[in-house]
Amino acid sequence: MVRFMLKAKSYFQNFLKKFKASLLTPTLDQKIRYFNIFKTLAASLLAIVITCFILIFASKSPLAAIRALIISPFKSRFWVGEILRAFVPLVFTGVAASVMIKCGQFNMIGEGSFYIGGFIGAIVAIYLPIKGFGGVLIACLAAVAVSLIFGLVPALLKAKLNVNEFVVSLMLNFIMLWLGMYFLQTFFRDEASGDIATKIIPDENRFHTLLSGTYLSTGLIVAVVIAVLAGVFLYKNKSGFIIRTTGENPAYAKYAGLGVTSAVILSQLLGAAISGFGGAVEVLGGIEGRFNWKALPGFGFDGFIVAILAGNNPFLVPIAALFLAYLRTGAVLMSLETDIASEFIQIIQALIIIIVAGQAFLRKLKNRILFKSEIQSEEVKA
Amino acid sequence: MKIIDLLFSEEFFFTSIQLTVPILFASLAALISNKAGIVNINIEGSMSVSALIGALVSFYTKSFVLGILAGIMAGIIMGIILAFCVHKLKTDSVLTGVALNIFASGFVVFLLYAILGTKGDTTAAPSTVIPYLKIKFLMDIPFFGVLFEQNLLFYLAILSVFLLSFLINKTKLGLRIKAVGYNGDAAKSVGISVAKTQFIALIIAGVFSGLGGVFLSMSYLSTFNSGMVAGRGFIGLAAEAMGAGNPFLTLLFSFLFGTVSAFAISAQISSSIPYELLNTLPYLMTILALVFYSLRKTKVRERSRVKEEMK
Repeated sequence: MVRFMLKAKSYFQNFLKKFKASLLTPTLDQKIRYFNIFKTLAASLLAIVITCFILIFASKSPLAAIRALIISPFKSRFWVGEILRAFVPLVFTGVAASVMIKCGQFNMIGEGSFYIGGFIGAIVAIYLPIKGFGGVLIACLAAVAVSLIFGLVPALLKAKLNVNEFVVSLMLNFIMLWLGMYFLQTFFRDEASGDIATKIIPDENRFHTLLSGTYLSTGLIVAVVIAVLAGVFLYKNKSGFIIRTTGENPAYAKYAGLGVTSAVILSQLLGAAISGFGGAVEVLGGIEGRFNWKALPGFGFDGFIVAILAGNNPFLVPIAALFLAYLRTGAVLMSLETDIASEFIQIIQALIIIIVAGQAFLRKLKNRILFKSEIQSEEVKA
Repeated sequence: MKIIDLLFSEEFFFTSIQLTVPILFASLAALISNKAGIVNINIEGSMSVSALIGALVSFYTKSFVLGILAGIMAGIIMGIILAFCVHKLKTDSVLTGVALNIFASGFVVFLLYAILGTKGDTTAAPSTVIPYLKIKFLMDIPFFGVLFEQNLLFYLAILSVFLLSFLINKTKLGLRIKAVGYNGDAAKSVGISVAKTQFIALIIAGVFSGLGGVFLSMSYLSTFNSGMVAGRGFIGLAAEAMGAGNPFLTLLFSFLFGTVSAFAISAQISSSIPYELLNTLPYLMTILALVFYSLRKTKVRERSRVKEEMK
């Protein structure tokens, strides 16, 4: 234990030293990385400013709306808990999307596997005789397993037959939704609920409340752990390296004899599994205590936004997810306090993606950075 | 036996045609964008926005013509936004498409709530429905007469197939669009403006998506609801891929997808298959079709390679 702590300490000191050096005399790579972080921040800020402008025209009480959106989420312990609760599913689908985009795969299965993962997780947690930690674990594993089975479809079709994974995964989402609805309606519906919903999940098979006075569950910890694990996998592991190389330059990866096919399959399967896991965590830590989704929950697409914001880096996903969760909670408050529907948030999200993804945004600044370091390296050579 | 009877009934043919129209419009939009070298996945969102705008305008003006025009305008604006992002902001077209789809799904609910105060649908404000055009004598032909008692937009859709084919193959603009899509740099070197051509192509695509959306909320149903496009924009993309850039083949595959969707709906009444499972059919069919398409493509490629080796 002591040795481990010492090791961690030296690792941390090393990291600090490197970080300091990169701030004082950054290499070109680091400069571009800092530029990208700055650009994302600037883009997010710009999107919020544009949003405020839209609100001035869209709302009868724009000041109240802007206040509700920006400040209200911090008004009480409960609402901070709500931010963190919205944060959990975004981390899962954000990590899932990152792993897939890093490999160059535009796979939207996050949407459907989140749904099916939630459904399977609930069913197993309800009917499994094992209770407690084991029960939750098995429920989550079952959710992951079923998501993997569905995930195989776009992954294998892309890798073996070069079928576009984007369209296939979108179609598959609807198939998963209707299959889930079928099983829910026909076999698992609890008539007493007065709704299309399963029975109540027993208390022992749910995630506990993490913060008293809020609905936040211990699923939060699981989410952060998953993000870190995915980051370690992508950046410190051979398969992760192959996935990244395949995404950056598939022709090179193929030429270098890296297993491109298996990387394509692996990244898509991981994506499906992680968002399926997220679905189970969401339902087992949810307020309703049962599964009652009658439409795709939309987290898959949100995960895509989180991934773009985080630059497809799982380590940064929690930060991006927190930002989005904050905006989202603000939007809910805005719809409660003023005349703006909470779906307004999707307009902001679209703005953010477009500005972050826009190569033209802040290009002059980027060119100046590149130009300067070019001159510097010339001077060093001379 | 019942299902066979169903498949050859006039009602079923009628429903198939009805469900073909939105998919056909979507696939035509995909076709013209693809010709210009842009992967346009924004069609789904454009259709949704157009459907809402068309429904609302037709309700308030009591004129279906204005409704259709407003829907088309909405589609065009969505197309222009995509073109603007791709050319001025230099975003990736797929990423922008995803963003605009997210925008659309939020925008329709936002607008619905701001105007009608509800979030789900426009039942409170039913659209002025687009009329049916029944052609005398022709509609009395057994079975195929169904083709001549359709909604106005059906004829427009068929006409669009011919117009689009003409545009692509016989006009200067079509040639330019193809040149830009085939090789942007080469097109630029002979003085064709890539940005301008793609702008025009995306505006045309916007018109088609607008018509597809308007059909859903002003003819197929007389109200809008936020989930009503239900992946038809994406099914249109698949139909276009199968049609391999040929408007008439695209029509054929759109009809195929329309028929499967019609079966999913009709069989709910006349068979005991649960409706949830029937609802998966159009999507399942799309995936299968894409697989067959890809298999065929690899086969053709292999055959041509073998031929060349023989030489």
